[in-house]
Amino acid sequence: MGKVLEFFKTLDRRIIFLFIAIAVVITLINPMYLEINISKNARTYIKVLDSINENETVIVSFDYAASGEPELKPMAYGILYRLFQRKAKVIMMGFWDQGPSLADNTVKQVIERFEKDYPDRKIVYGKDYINIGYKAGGFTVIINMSKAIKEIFTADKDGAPISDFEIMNKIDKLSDIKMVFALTGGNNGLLDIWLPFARQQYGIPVAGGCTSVSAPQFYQYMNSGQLSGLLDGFKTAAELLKAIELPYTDPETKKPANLLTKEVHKIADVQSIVHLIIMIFIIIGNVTYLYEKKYSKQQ
Amino acid sequence: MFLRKTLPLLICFFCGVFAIVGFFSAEGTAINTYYEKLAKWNSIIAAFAMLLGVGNLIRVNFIKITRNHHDKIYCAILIASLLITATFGILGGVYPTKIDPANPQLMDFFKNKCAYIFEYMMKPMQSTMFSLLAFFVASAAFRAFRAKSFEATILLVTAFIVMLGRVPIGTSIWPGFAGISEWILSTVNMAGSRAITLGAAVGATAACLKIILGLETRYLGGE
Amino acid sequence: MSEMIGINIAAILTLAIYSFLYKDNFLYKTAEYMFVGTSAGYLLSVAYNNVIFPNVYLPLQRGVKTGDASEFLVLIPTILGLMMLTMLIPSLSVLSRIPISYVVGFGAGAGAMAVIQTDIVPQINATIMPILPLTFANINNLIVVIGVVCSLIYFFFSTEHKGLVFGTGSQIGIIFLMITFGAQFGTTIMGRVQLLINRGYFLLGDWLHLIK
Repeated sequence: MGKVLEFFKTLDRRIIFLFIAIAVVITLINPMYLEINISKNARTYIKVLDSINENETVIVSFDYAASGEPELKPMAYGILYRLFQRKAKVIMMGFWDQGPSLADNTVKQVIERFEKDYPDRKIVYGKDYINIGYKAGGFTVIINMSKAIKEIFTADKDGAPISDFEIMNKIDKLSDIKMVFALTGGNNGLLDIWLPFARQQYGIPVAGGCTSVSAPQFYQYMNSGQLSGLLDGFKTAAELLKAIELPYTDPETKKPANLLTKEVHKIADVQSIVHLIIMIFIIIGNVTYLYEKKYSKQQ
Repeated sequence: MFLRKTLPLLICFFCGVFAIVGFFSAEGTAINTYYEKLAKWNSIIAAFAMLLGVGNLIRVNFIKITRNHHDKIYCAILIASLLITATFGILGGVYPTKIDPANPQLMDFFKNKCAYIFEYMMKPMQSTMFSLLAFFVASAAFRAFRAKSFEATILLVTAFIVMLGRVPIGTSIWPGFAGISEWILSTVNMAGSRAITLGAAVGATAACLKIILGLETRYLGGE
Repeated sequence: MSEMIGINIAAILTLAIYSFLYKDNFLYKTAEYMFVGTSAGYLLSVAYNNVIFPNVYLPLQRGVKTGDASEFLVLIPTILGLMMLTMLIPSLSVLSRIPISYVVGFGAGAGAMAVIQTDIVPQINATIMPILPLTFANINNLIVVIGVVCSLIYFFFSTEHKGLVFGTGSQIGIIFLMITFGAQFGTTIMGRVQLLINRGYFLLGDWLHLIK
């Protein structure tokens, strides 16, 4: 037993790395397609998305960088898809420099999928959605948006005058926005900008999306009613995609949605296996610790 | 002395008080108009602050090269990649654009290059850099996450339940994990987080007031 | 073609960074510095394209064309911004204190208000909840009230943690905080692993085409 104890005590961390890497590779190639259950948070979010009606304008804020994309992109994908189903008008922007680029990339994929699922619908830039890019200054931008969005965002991300786009015809100030969906990779976005200023100062409903790392701190804002909805990391993002795919049929076209949950399932499977491996290592570490304690007492 | 300390403190006090007053001002009033104006200027200054950050990065690395620092090759790589990206980004734009081959433009060469660097260099490097943490979290948890005391055991058990509740395999083992995990997050964790937030918020408010009143001057170099 | 080259570049950079898991080496360091360089270059480009060009250059250009004096107001933040850059020149760096104090002062004023109306008032309001009759929802409310109060007692360092209120209260507070930290650890793992899966998906799927 002493040898086993010594082995685990001096275990090279690279062996743990190797285990995790192998688990990722094997599970990605051979997924198990474990069942994903839809949680209360995801169900609430669907209701929030369904409260947006045709021709109502919303903001989807991409406040994250590439490091947050793996968790936040599935959320953005689901939110945009559902908003297009609802025939809402979407203004995309970002308080993180990489946000608008990531938004561009995501919306292209959503539109490609959406137009396959709904061949009679064409999602047009400038009419159904627009990307107004990045602005520095955080909360000060919201203060200006409360008065005149077009004064601070004079051009879209490519530099074309924002007033030339049909989607902006009826939008002058923040109060013309039905809801803000803020996807945030840290505090700078949902917590420091949208919640205190858009929600608290100007009364615009805000629904959030955050990474798993920062998820626990956002529950209090759901409880206090400051957030209309919360997607807390990849878990609820996957559930949202599944919830959209499952029972929904477009009221007009009567067609079901068809999202790529196969990919989401694979990722959820890898999450499961890596979580298990980490837990097993923690258990081994604790057993070693307890055994060592007992062993040293005996001696 | 006046330019070094008195004037900055006066400006800070004036702007801070104005931001508070403006916050409560009704729309359409003169104070509100100037409040929005100051906010707009702040947004532009913030962009220059970014230039300052980038300028400082170049300066620090340039100094290392001139002083023959052992990392000078890497510093040169950093400056070169910065300048290349910035040149393409400023002259050709950041986002992908369509180039019309029938109507060639002078700046066409610079277009889409920054977007390409972003997609195939920056994004993978950033994601990979942060994904290293997955390995280190696992290794650190193995070495340090021990049930050494009652409190540590509570922490460990909670972590296990939350981990199992958030992955499909947890609910496959026992469906109750998801419910308990959700309850922990939305009730017990929420209470703890709220206490931490309240404590931090009171501290942040006090710190802001100290800055406005000139009692905290570290932003001026602590003078 | 360019996409294929790009994917290969991305794969090489990904593997270069992962080589750090074995040990620190030349490839990792090259990728690391390249990452910082490209990120800073990108930030500079975005700041120019999305702020300085549309919010500084274009208004000034309009002002020159139309003679509208209000367009020239943008010169004030521009000059302040340029003054901030003097921090890079030691002999002139004193000038940078003016824009810094402006930004810090405005941020402190608005920040204090934001914190009060987001984190203090609504959070205290939300903690004042019904606890009777003892239904499941009300028991949860009671747990939240006890959790918030006891955790705050733990952070109250002006009095020694002894007796029923401060002693027992802080002990209960520690339990709530430990559960909070445990929950945070549990969710953190998912976030980090998600990034790893993303890179695995890229290497095995987009690069090697092993994922069907």
